[in-house]
Parts: sequence; C-alpha cells; structure tokens
Amino acid sequence: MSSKTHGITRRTLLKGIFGGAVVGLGLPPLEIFMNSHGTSYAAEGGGFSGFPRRFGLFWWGNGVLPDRWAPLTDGAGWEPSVLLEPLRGLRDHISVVTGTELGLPNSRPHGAGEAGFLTGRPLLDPYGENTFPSASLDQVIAQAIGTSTNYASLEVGALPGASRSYNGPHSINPSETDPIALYQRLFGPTFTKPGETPIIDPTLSLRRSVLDAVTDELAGLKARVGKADQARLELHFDGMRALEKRLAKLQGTPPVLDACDRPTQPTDTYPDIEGRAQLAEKNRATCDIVAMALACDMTRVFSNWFTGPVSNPLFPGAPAGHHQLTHDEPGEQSSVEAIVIQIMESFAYQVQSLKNVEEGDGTLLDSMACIGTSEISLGRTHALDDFPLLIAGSAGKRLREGVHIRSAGGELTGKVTLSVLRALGIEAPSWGAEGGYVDSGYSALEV
Amino acid sequence: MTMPLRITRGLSTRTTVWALGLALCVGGCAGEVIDPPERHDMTLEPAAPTLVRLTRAQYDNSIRALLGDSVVLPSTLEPDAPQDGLLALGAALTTISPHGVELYEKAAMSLATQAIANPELRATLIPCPAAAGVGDCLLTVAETFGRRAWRRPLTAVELDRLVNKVGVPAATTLGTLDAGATYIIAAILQSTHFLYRIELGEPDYYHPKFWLLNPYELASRLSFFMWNSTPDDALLDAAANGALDTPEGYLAQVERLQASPLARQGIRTFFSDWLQLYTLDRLSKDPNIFRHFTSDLGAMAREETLRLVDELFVDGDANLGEFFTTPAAWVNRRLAAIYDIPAPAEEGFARTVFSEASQRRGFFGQVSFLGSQAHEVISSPTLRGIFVREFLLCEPVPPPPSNLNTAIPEPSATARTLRERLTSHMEDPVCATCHGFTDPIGLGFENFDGIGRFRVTDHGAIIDPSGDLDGEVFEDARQLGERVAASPSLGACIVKKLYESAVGHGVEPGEEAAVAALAEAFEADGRRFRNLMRAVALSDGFRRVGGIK
Repeated sequence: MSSKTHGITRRTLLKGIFGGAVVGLGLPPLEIFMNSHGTSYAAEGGGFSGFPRRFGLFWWGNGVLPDRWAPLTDGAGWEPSVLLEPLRGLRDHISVVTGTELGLPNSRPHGAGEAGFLTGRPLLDPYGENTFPSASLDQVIAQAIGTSTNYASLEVGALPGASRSYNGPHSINPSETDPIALYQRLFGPTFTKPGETPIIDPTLSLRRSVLDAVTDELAGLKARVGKADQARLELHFDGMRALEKRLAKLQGTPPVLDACDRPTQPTDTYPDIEGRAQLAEKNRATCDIVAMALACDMTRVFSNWFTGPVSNPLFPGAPAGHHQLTHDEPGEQSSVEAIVIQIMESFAYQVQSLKNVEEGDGTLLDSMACIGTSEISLGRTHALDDFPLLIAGSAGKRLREGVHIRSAGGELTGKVTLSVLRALGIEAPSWGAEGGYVDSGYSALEV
Repeated sequence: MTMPLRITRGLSTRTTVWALGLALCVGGCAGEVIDPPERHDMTLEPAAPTLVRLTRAQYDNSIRALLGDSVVLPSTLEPDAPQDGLLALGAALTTISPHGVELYEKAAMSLATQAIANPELRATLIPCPAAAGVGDCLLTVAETFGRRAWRRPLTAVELDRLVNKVGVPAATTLGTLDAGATYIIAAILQSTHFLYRIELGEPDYYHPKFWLLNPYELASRLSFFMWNSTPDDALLDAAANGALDTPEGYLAQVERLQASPLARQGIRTFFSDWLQLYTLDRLSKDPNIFRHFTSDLGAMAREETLRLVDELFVDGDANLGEFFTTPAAWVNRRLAAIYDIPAPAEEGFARTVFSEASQRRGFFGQVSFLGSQAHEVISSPTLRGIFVREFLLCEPVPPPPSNLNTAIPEPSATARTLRERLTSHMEDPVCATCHGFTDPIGLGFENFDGIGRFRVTDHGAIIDPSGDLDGEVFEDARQLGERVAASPSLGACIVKKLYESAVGHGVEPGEEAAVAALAEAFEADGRRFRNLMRAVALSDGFRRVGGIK
C-alpha cells in the first residue's frame, strides 16, 4: 500500500446509503498527505488533518446510573462525577454529552436502545425478534472510510457474544474475545512491519485463485435464490473480495508508517477466576493490539464490545451478575455503581491505549472519534432518555475535545452521531429514521 | 417395483411419482402410480426456500464424514445464532461475516493440507492410476470429493473451474499433483455449495405450481434432519438412481437412516436445540455461593440430559411425557454430589433412579434446566417459568414493558422467600399480566436453588412450591412435571419445533394445518418421538418448497 501503488486521484466519491440518499464522501487519503516517514505534511504545518480519520466504539451493557453520571461542571476541565472519576486524567481528551435522548419508542427492553443508538431507527420488528433494521454505526462508517485498509473494521471485545455490529438484519459481526487469536490474525506470520521485506509466498496467489473460483460459483448461485438470500450472499461475496484483496496486499510492500510496530504478543489465555471473567485484563491486551492495528493502518474502524446488552458477568467484588443487579439491587445500587466505575476504568484504558501511540506530532487519539456508550441510561427501568455518551478524540480537530455539554432539553442523541459522521469526513445528509431522524449535527460538539 | 418415468434431470421436466397418501401407506405400499392430481396436499402452502447455512456441528460432522477422524477440526468458526431458540432456524437467516469468510478459508486450507498429507486419506481422495495425467487425475479428485461435499454431482462448468482455475495452476506452481488436489479440496470446502444447504426445489412436472426438492436436495435435507450430517454415498446413490423418486424408495432411505447409529446424533441435535443445551457452555455461577460450580459443569449437565434422551428416544421408544416424569437419570460423580445421591462406582456417567420420596424427575430435576434458567447467585422463578411457557409449551411471553421499576425487595423478616418477595409481580396489574403467566410455574421449582440443589427453606422460611398450571393444581415440582407432561401444548410444541428444524423456517400460515395434523397423529400414536421424526420426514411439507421470492 505504498503511495506509488495508489494514485493521487483517490479522492473518490463513494456511495453509501443514509436514509436512501446517496452520500458523497471526501476521503483524505493517507498516502497523499504523508511523506515517507509517516509524519503528515499537514502536521508539519501544525495540524493533524493529514492522518486518516478513524472511528472507535466502546460498548458496555446495561447502562449507567444517570443520577451519578453527569460531570459536576460544564465545559472544559469538567469535574468528574463519581462514575466518571476514572476518566479524570484523560478528561481533556474526552467530551461528555448528557441529557440527550434517542427519541424512539422503547418497544423492547435493551433491544430498542441497541438499535436506537446504533442505527437511529426502531428494531426491524419492534415487538418481535431482536434484530437491527440496517447496518450499525460502526459498519456504516466502515463502508465509508474502511475500504482501502486490510480490514474494513475490527470487532473485538472482552465478553463473548456481546457484539451488536450488524451488516444488516440478522447479520452480526461477532467479536473476537481472545487476545491471542486477535494477535495471530493481525500480527501473525503474514504480518510485515514497515522496513521488512514482504513475504514471498507462491501460495498466496493460489489462495487468491481459489477465492476467485469460489466467488464465481457464488455469483451463479445468487442468480437462483430469493431476495433475502441474495443479500446474504452479497455479504459473503464482500467478505471473499476483502480477503482476496488482503492476500494481494500481503504480497506488496507494507506502508511506511513510523508509528507502526509489531506489538507484544499476548500469552495469557485469561481463564475465569472463581467464576469471574477477567474482563479488564482482556480489555487491556485487546486495546493494545487494536491501537497498533490502527497505527499500521490495517484498519480505521473498530468496535470494542467490552460487554453487551443484558450481559450478566460477575464483576470483581460484585454480589451478582451485572444485568441482574441493575434490576434486583434495591436502594442506591452501590454494587451497580461499583461496576460502572470498573467499566469506566476499562474505557479509560481504551482511550489511553490510543494516546500511547505517538503518530506524527501527536498521538493516535488525535485522529480518532471514539464513542463510549451503552443501550440504555438507567438499567433498572431501561430508560432511553439522558443517554450516556462519551466521545474521545477530536477526529483531527473536527470535534470539540474535553468538554461537558449538557443538552438544554431532550435533543436527539442522533445529532451527536451525525456530527461524528461528518467529522470523519462522511457527508451524510441525515441519520436515523422516524423519531430518531436528524438532519443536523450537534453544533455544540462541532469545532 | 415400478420405476418412475424419468425424462431428464433438467429443470421442470423432472418427473416424480409422489403419492399424497404416502404417510398413509407407510410400510405397506407397492410403488403404484397415483394419478398426478392427487399427488399433493392441496391445502399446504410451503414457505419459499432459503439457504441454510451449515451449523458448527453440521460443519464438523460433515468434515468427519468426508475426511475421517484423523484431521484436526477448526477450533474457531463463527458461532451459531439461534432464532426463536433454535440454531436450526438461525442457520437460515444468519450471514457469513467478513471475518467468518476468513475463518472458513483458513479452515479449508488446513483441512485439505492435513488430508492430503495423510497417506491413507490421500489414496481415497486421489483415486487415480499412477499413469493418469495430472489434468485427468485432478478431474477425478474434483468429481469424487465434490459429489460428497456438495451433496450432488458437479456440473461440467464447475468441474472445469475447479480443475483449470485452481487445481492445475497449483500443481504447476508448486510442482506436485498433491498440491493440485489440496487446492481443489480447499476450494470445495470454502464454496457456498458446501457451506450452505441449497434446497431450492424445482417446479413439479405435473403441477408447475408446486415446487419439489430435487432428489439430491431431498437427500441432503433428510440426512441433516436425521443425522445432522452430510448424506453418505448410499443416499446420494439413491438420489442418482431414481430410488428417492418413488415412495417406497424414499421410505427405505428414511428407515435406513433412522436405523443407523448416526440417528443418535440427529436426535441429540434436536433436543439440544429445543432445550437450548447449547447455552450450557456459558453456564456461569458464583462459586462462592455454589461451591459445586466449575466451568466444566455445563458440559456435564448437557451430557446428562442427552443420556436421558438416548435412553428414552434413541435406545427406547418412550412417550415424550416420560422425559419430564421419569425417576431415571444419568449422572457422574459431580452431578451426584449436586443431587445428593450416592456417586457412581466408576468415573463417567451411570444410570440411577431417584427415590420415591425425591422431588427430582426427568429434565426438570436436572442442572441443564434448573441451573440454566436461573441467575448467577440465585434461582429465578421468572426465567424458569418463561422457559417452560415459551420453549416447552410454545406459548409466547411478551417482553416486559419499558420504564418499569424492576427492583426485587431485599429479603426481610416478613418476606424471606422469593415467592414472598415477588408478590408485587402478582399484585401490581401491570406486572401480573405476564408474571401471572410465568411465575406460578417457576415458583413450583423453588425447592431447587440456582444450581439445582434441593432445599426446603429459603432465608430460613419454608418454601411453598405449590401452584397451578392453567388451572391444574400441583403440590410440588414433581407434580408440576406431570402437569407439563400432560399438557396438550407440549406435544403440539415439540411437533412445531421439530418441523421447523427440519425445514429451516418457522411454520407459515399455509403450513399450520399440516403441522396440526402431524401433532394430532403424534398424540394418537402415544407421543413417540421416533415415529414423529419419521412422519415429519414423510410429510409433504418436508419435500416441497414454495416458489422463490
């Protein structure tokens, strides 16, 4: 993926669907703006706009305790609440938006909120099966800014089965929850770090010819099946094309990127200890690998499903599973509070892992918009107002960083989503549908 | 035996002879040709076909059938996802994600390489005389392995593609015939024709309005239904030589598959799916509260349940109700400790019979049910009640309304047991609508704690396990099991679930009458599961599909 193999004419108009409208996408291609050492030309002029913009999602299940969530002060230098205390050291990089709501019917506990935030729409069948009506936010973004990298997106997590990354109805991208497997996938034998000679392996071409043949067969089958199956095969086809492209790239020269290095290989398998999953430990190992995958420009989009909607892990020190406690713990819910604080510690690590990687004159975090959120606000009642929303990074100084913005009253969460999309260079005219429809961003968050 | 008229295997010209009354002449009919107009159940409107992706187990079973026991199966492939509780239904809806494609490709390369590296396997996979040319030999590889893996003969175009786009280039680049064979096998194993069951049907010659599975599609559906695995050579041969086109030829295969040792795998698969035993891999309990819990308990509990399935429905031919009422059980030492009974003399599972006084009967006395349908730290009457209603009786429970305060009060001096603490579920009309439907069932199991240990008290208070199931009163869990076993909903529910598993889609309005008829026959037959499987395989809905939409 050297600047020679890709022409300078890569400012392409890509097609994407936002509420049926065709979207123009202004991509700032990595190669165009970078010199051979991976510092951006623009950065030399003092900005960060030259690095690719990147998106991250950090998800946890079962919401928060809204009465202890909002920072105590507004604007920059916000004073952390008890739940946000773990973010104190990073607050200059994290904006907190409070008081927004999804604006959609709460038709199904947890389910309505998952789909509501991640698609801006109601569930495909609001009172029926729990599946999304369209691709989730991370995949919408991946389709726009992930097309030139080895992986359009990465789905990772700490708790198995938590992913709500959807390509479309019934089409989930499961998360990788084993850091060793994640490392092998990204940095195993096929990885070539900048400066190393790419591998010469004739089997790569042969594997591509296999994929070619299999793709032809798929096309023949597609002509014979119904509409729903055509869509399923389409996705299968995309996966095969992406793999073929990836095998082709392995035969080429790796991009010159100073920030890119082979990360430390994890060795721990993180077994449960006394019935408790090592969520925080797994998350740290995962975040470090993901950060390096971004630095090596293997992907520009990730979603980290730390835990998932309704998930019920036993957190350290907790007397019961997380989901159960949100419902059953009476009073002030001190155990739930302790769990949310632990989750925020893991979110802090997510942000810190991005900040740890120096890139140009700044860090990876500068090019990111990393959203941290859940599917509900108050777990006990499955509420969808006062939605928890954290945004780390400024997407290349396009989002206000490190401020607490309190919504004046019931603005839609989707406005923030739309601002993030636009900050990533995606010229989306709107986001969501029905009660979740917005066509303007959240101006207080925009630079 | 009358051979059917067969013109060609082409679309819409295929002629088959199917009797509407096939199920009626089970076991006895000669192959008389029934007049074409009577060949179909005219009221049945089957759903349009969908591609059914191989489940994880079907993938593994197919690989074992194709490549034997020596190859190492892939440890990670995309997980299955249930729909309406059934993995079999999820398989017709889910997609293969980009990462999933990557995993299938890796697995296919690894399996093909392992297979060709094994001299014995190699000899069967490359059955060419030494003098054969590379191209000819690779064609043989593609033909023979392709037919087994794709469950049908390959077309000339498909063979040409595999040999000339994949096999010959690999043999040339890497300089060996084996390399060519390896890449052909890898291509076959990552193809959509292997990874999906393609059961699309063809218009019937006599009734273009009706679509029938072609014989290979029928063989595939039958094999995955009966064995949860790919058809063997004999079944594919029966598809090839026209045997599956005749009622008696098809019946012979149904009976052969049912008599095979692999039928155990098929029956276990269905029960595992229906009872959601696949969730047991993630069984999680707080070991500080449940000292019997370790992370391997879930797998043991599943095996316990499946051993009972074996006894009643594979090796025996019991009434379905016995699954909920039998005092027999299969336990290992760990489970015996939880159930507080003498441990088996040897390692592994042994049969035991619970005493007359014991509350433990059948599935409802097992960790598979009692531990799964509970929380990490306590039991859950609501989860247990929902499971019985939704999955055993097929009576849907609506999701809770939003914005409810769902906190359960802490145990207090006046409300110590869960029944007492959950009174709000029954007194508040908003809650009672659903909880009145679920909790009385779940509270009947309260003598078993969150992992399934028997107890008489909760927080020092005596547990009252009595209640009623739709008006039929019960004193305790044992009687509740009898009530469920006798419920008319139970039989109808298992018929629905089995039919759905077989055809890969939820029962459509146009199929309801046919499924109801199956349920009626099941009741009349004394609810014998194996006969039900056979009746489903012989039903019109099993062999037909709707037109493509």
